[in-house]
Amino acid sequence: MLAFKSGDARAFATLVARHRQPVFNFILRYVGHRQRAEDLLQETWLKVVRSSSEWEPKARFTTWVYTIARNLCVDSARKEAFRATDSLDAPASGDEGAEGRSKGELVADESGQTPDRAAHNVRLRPLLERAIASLPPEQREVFLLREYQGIGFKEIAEVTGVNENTVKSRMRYALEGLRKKLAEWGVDGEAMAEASRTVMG
Amino acid sequence: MNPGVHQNEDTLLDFAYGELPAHEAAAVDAHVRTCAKCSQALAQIRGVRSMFAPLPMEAAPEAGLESLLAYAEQHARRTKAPAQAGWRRWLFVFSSAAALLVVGVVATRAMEEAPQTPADVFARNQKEAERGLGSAQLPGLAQDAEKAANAPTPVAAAAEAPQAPAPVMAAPSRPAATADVDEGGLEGKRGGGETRNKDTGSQNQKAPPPAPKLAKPSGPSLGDSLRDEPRQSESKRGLNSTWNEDSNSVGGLKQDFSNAAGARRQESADKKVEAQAAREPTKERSRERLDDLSDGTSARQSATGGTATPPSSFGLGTGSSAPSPPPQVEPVAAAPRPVSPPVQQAPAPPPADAPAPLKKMTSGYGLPSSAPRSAPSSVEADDAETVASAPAGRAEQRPVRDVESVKQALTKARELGSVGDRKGEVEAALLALSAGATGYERAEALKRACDGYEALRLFDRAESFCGLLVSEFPATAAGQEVARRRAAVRKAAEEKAKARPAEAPASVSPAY
Repeated sequence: MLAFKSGDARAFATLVARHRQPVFNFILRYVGHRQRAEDLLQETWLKVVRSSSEWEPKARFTTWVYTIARNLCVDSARKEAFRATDSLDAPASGDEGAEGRSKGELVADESGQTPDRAAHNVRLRPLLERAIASLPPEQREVFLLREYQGIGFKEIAEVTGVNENTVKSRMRYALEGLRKKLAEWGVDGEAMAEASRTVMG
Repeated sequence: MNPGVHQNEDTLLDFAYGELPAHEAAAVDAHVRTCAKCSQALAQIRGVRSMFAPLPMEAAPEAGLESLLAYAEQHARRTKAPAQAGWRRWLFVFSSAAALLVVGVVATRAMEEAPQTPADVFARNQKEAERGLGSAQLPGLAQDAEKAANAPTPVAAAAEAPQAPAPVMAAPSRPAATADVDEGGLEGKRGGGETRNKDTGSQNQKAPPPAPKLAKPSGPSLGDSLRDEPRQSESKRGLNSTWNEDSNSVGGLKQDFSNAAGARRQESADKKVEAQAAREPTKERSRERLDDLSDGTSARQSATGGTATPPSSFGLGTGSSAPSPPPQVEPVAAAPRPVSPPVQQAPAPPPADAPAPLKKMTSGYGLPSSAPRSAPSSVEADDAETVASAPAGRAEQRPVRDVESVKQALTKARELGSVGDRKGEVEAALLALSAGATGYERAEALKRACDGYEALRLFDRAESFCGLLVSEFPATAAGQEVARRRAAVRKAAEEKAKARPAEAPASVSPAY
């Protein structure tokens, strides 16, 4: 970043190649909408370019770029909140075969397979994405930053602008909410235990 | 919520994500192994993590990447630009300052070396007049200076000014052994110059610009003898320095005024000049005579033995090396003035015979005695009054009038006069005279020659033409103006002579 700040455009290309995909995934899972995520990704990097003169070496670039991305996501979420959108938990209506099922279930059932009927790997991904999308934004961002971006709690506190204990609290609530959500959808018990055993070795 | 449990949960969270230090991690691990509750909590955390870990990473879109990089590159260039702009700005500032410095130095040197502006000439004349000359020369000089100052293109005049006095003025830094030839004439010619140029003695070493095209053969005249001098710094001298040098040369030459060896050298030099003049082609001498015309007054005066006119011989006169006595106040006005029609007074010959009439007219101005003359004896015998009467006396030998040449010469004189080129104006006027100008053309030529020489401070030369103008055209405005001017100068000189009888001879002989 110092090189780019001093006018080296190739340094910026290196930064983009290194951080663009993780940032995109963070944005995508934060907003839950690919097109919006792409727009926010572009906007994030443009802001990185424009704000390069404000960057100081005392802060990690990762922390800085995720701060930018997170703020853009927050702004985007606020804008979306003003739109007349139905909640994912609102009951679906009008569509054939959708009676009695929530929109979230329909989103997760895009492949035409219900979690119960699809294979485990095939079923698990949409459920996980649904579970993440169902988290409150403050818990979701902490979970995403810590779980997928590998950012420590201290840096997440810097990104989100809260103290570290708050971050850890949000993280615990996020983990608990995900576990309950998956359990609610029937993905609990044996699957998690099996997965846990796999993780623990 | 129990703080201890809460703290334990945070610790378990750190332990699950590997953020605890090694020793703390070991302690927590040991505790978890013994605590079922903590072990269950840790299992839940790890179970959720294990469930979400295989969630694949989405590929970032390529759309917009190129534009993003292009934007970044452009931004990087803009980031570099300020630094470069700063460097260039300083470079521009320094280069501008250096350029201004060079221009300033050049301008300063040019100002030092450049000739005086007409205003400077006027101021200088006034200053000099106040110092030594008193008010004797002031009217004429002031008038000329004012004319120069009123020139339409003073810049052009200043630019051309250095060339003007070159052929007329003489080099100042001349060895005494050579300079003594002219000292008599200078003494008599300059008159008040001794007092006038005291302050300029320090500039004696500066040589005036050379005049190669107008250089005339070495001879005993002032111009010739002084032109032989080395001219190491002549190109740097302007009109002002030339004038000063000319004046200073007068002062320096005065010291050898009574040198007898100088007289002998002058005699031999006179012979050389005559012989050389006889050998030279007529055409070339014609040009040289124009130059001689500028210097010739002193020679003419030397021929008179320095009895009547302030200027004394330093050229052709025999035995003229002897210092002439203090000049009289009225050398010309006392001369009998023949009255003749202007046409008959024209002394100029036809162009083919240009040297002859010019010699006739200027034979008393220092021309070689061997030059063809119609009445050499009478010219050499007399001084200014001879000059005044010669044209009329030799009307039968008047050259054929070349109307076109006269007109062209007068036109040229007007043009040069309008731009302040006094020397060129005088030369053109002389050409008009030599081409046989008559009537008002002759009057104008005489007036321009008179005024031009006065502007060049060659008063002895100016006197000849002024005298001719007054004598031949007394009823014209130009003649009356010159007459009034001369009368004023004479009156001032007489008053000054009365006030200081002892110094009268030196100070009473200014221009006229």
